[in-house]
Amino acid sequence: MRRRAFSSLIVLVATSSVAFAEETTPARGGANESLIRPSATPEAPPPPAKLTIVPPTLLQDPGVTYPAEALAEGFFERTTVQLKVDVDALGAVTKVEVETPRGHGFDEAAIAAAKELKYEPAKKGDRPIASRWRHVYTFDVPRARLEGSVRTGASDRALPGVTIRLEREGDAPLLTVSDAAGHFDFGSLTRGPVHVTAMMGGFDDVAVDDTLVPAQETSLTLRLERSAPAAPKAADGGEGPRFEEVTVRGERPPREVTKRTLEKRELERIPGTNGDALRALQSLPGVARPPGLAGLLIVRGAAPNSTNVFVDGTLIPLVYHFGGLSSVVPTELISRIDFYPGNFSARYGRVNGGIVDVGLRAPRVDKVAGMAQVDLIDARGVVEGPIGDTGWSFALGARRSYVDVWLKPVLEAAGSGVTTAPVYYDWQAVVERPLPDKGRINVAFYGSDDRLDVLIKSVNGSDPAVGGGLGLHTGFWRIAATYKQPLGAKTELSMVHAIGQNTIEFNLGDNAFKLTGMPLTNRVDLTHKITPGTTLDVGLDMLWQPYDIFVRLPLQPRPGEPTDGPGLSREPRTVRESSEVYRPAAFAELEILPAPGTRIVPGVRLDYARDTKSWDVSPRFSARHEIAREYPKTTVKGGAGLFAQPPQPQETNAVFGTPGVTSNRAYGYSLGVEQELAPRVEASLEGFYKRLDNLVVARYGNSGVGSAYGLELLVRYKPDERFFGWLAYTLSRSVQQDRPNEPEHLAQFDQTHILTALGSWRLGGGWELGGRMRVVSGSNTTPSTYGFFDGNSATNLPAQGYPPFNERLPLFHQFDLRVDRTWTYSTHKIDAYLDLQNAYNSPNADGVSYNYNSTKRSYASSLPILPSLGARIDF
Amino acid sequence: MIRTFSKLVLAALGGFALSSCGGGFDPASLVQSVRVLGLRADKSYAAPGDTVNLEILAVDRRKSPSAEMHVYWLPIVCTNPANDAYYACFTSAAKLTGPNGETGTGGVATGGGDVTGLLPKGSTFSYKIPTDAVTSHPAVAGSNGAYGISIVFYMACAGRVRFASRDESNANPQQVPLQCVDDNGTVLGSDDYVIGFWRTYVYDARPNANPVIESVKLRDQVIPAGATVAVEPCTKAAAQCNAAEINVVVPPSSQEDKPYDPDAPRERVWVSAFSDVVAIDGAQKLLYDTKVGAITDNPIKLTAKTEDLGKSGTLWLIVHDNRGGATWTTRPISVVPTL
Repeated sequence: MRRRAFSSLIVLVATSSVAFAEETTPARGGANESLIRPSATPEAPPPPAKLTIVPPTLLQDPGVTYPAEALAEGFFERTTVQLKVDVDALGAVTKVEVETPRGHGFDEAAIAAAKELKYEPAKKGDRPIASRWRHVYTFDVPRARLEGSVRTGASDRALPGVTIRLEREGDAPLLTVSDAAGHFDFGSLTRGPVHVTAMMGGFDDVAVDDTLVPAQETSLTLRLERSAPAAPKAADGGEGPRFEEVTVRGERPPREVTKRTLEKRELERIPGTNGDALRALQSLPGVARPPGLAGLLIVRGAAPNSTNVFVDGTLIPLVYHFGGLSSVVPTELISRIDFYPGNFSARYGRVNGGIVDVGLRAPRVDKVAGMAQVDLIDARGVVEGPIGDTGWSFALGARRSYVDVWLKPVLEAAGSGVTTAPVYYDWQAVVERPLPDKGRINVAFYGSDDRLDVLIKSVNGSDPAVGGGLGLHTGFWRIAATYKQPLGAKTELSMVHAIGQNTIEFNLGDNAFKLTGMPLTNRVDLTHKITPGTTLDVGLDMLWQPYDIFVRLPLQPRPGEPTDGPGLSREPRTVRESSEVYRPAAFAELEILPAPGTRIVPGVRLDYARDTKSWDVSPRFSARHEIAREYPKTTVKGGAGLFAQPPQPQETNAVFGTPGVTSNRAYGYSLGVEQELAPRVEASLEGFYKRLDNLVVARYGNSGVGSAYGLELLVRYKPDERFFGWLAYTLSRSVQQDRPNEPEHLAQFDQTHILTALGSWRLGGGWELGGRMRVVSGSNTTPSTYGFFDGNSATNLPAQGYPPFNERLPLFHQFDLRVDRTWTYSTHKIDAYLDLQNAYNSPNADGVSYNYNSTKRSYASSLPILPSLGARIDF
Repeated sequence: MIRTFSKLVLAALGGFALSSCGGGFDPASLVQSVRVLGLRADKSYAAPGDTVNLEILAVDRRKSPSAEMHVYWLPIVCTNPANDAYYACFTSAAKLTGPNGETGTGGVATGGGDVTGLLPKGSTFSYKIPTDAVTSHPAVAGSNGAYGISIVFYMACAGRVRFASRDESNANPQQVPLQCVDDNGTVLGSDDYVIGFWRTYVYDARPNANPVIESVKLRDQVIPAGATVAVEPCTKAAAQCNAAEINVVVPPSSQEDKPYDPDAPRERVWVSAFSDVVAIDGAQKLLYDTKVGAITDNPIKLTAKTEDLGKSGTLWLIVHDNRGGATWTTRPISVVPTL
């Protein structure tokens, strides 16, 4: 908001040709025009004059605006700039000098404004003369503005007549009442933290804390719920009614067909996830259960590498630490997770599975705060707060696993020499500051590191290469800068630039793999509102990654091809290469609102892969239409699009892949409906079909075709002060044919039924109890039977079932339990919890164990009961 | 609190260890059927035109054998099958020659005929590597120099050998081309036969010697060839048993350097132990690692059950390297009363 808050003081000073007298001349324009006052440093009294000198009269003063630079730097002080202004005999300003430089853009702003001053020139007698004047500009700190609306939480209707109370430290409360449209406006306010409460008879009070930023408008949507007849009040523990997620800024329907966003409380409290936000994704429809300890994200039957994960728009190479027990970004620094299981926007590309976009939270600006948590798996901490009065704020986070503490003795007892027991770290450092007009700049440094280094003194009977030195190292880091700034009322620019490193190292015996890449990613997104109902979004999405790779591994069998020896004991192939991946892309998307409740989003994406010298044009389309706009709202949605996934470097390699292969293609279609069932209960049902072709099959080329189709159902109770939960069910089938003359087979990660039911209750007294039940079709496996004896490795090679993955393991079922007890104090909050995975120790099969010659078999079980006790403090 | 944590961890780990292993099978080291325990060639890497002398260690420890076990050899040498895969010898136009270099082309005939009397029989087999074994192999990107592969097949069978009919409607390339049948033509089970293959990697000039067993020690005492290894039965929990600790001594010279392969400069050497009487804890032990070198304090542990008291049998110790080199030795073994 542009404010003209200034005052001016003009003081006549002597020029060489003019005797001078102290005069004050009113400034022109501006809200504080009447605030004319003497100079704080008046000049000496003028000498006696023989002729009457008439000072110049100010005719025009454009005024000054608090400089953007000062806002950007967080410099919020009333500032005065004193200028010397030369006025010629025609009244024009010929020269401006700053007498008292103030920095932060004040001097430049004052000079620019002074050059626009217009005068009636000074006169000596009747003769116009040149003169020098002192002109002073005072920049008042711009005010913030707070407004908003009050609506019913259940039916989303405007609530008039609600009393809104604004409280701030040291000031008397301000009161206002919402108008007929539910709108309220406190007008301009000074900056700083505020506590806003909405009160109305028959409804529970809703309170929210926020921080007002100079020159910015803050808009709140407060949703009131009808009071329960006899709402229980917490006896202790401070867990009375609370609305943690009340503030909704600019919420609007998603542009994508399906965008699932989890709220903070859900992310932290889903049983079986140990409070890990990204593990919560595995409870959503369309996401398959990963086998055992594999930290994989399997979306709609697609391979894990068909889903990309971004942190604030920057691609990261892995989601979970090894074992899948924790993700690489701590929950506490996450503001949101947007998950698109398919038919995603043209802004995303290079995969044909799903997209996960994790938003890092802006650090707190009101005070230094933080948290620390320890449990059996890892320990982590976060601290955040403002950096003085600079306007910047920071957040620092770190995590270290404990797995090595208990696994090292176990491995040593088993006869292994342990150099580095399994251990993982991750870290995050974020600085951010707001910019005018809700812009922001953010610089983040984050990364992850997993290591294991053991000497296995035994040799595996079925593959003698499995033994000896075993090393594993996966890690990455990124430095990412995000800049977001409106360019006028209709245009917004968003840029994310990141540089980093990816490292994957693996060695086992004399087999080894090492890949080091230095990805540079740039994403520029320009959004322009063409008309009130039409928005154009265009952008660039660049990826350049030089890499060094060393591989010394036997060729793995092609799909459907039996192995001709133990996996790692055969003659290795060696690749040592330095190369680069360069994949620029551009996209354009039009968001059209042809009628209230209808949204149509056509888009197109153009990708180029220099390593394959191929272009991919991916047109996409999605639409939503609200059939019923009032509660209970009904929305139909659908989409279609082409998605291209360029081959991995190893797939184009002359040794391990097929040079010349081009992108995998997927034609995705989806159609669904969203229905509000109750004030806090919504359901969505969506069918999807994905036709795959041009699939890269190792050392065959683009010979694969396939399809994935199914139904996804989500019935969700959105978090309130007592409960959250959902029921998710996916019915799907994913098949693939590797070559034209080969039989079609189930995809490796196909799971027909995926049912997840979870809920978490606040019981009062600081207690919260949650449970998650999962019932999932067994994973696919390729059975083995008695085969040949390999004399070279002295192992029995099994005969493998054909086609692959033609056996399904038994049904998986597991119940996870989480109990939290929270103690809330005035300055901090303590939470102790037990997260119990597989609470009834279900012996789920996650594979098949065979005897030495594959004539006997039994199921290999998944995780047994796994308790994790932890404690956490928030301050 | 910490103790509670520890118990929970141990309980979880224990449960994990038990549940994740699956199985409950007899260990591979316990020999109770027709088994092939190893093969060794006088030239584990050969040159074109070399004659390779192959020896097989096949044993029959069935409790009630119905027929004598013999080792039969397919009298063909399959050179450079598609993708170097042994099973491609039966499905593709691999180069097939006789043991003495007789030439021919085409796949192996199949059809159910009894070939027992036609097959060479015995624990050794000699064959000649085709002179064009290296030059006729397609160039392979990423390999450590030009090479070829010659493959021979064998079957240890306690019955008669016949060719199996191939199911042409089954696209699985791994169909077994031979069957071991009894006198009535009934196909025998996995306890009665083993079918296998041996690959000879062929290079123009690349050394590869078999490892050498210097000695076998029981608790640091050398056990001479022919001397019996005495194992006491265990009456306590397995972890507290006084196991017989066997160390197979292989000289450092057996871990050959591979100067042509700078990324894996040394061989990996390990020993596999088998017995028809006692259980073996950690039957396959690493002796030399490619990076670490000699692995110390890594014995094979033999334990016997009380009900095995008085039983005698054989301990087979086979040393391998990761380039196909192998050698073996045996010792009599007896379960004796605790002294």
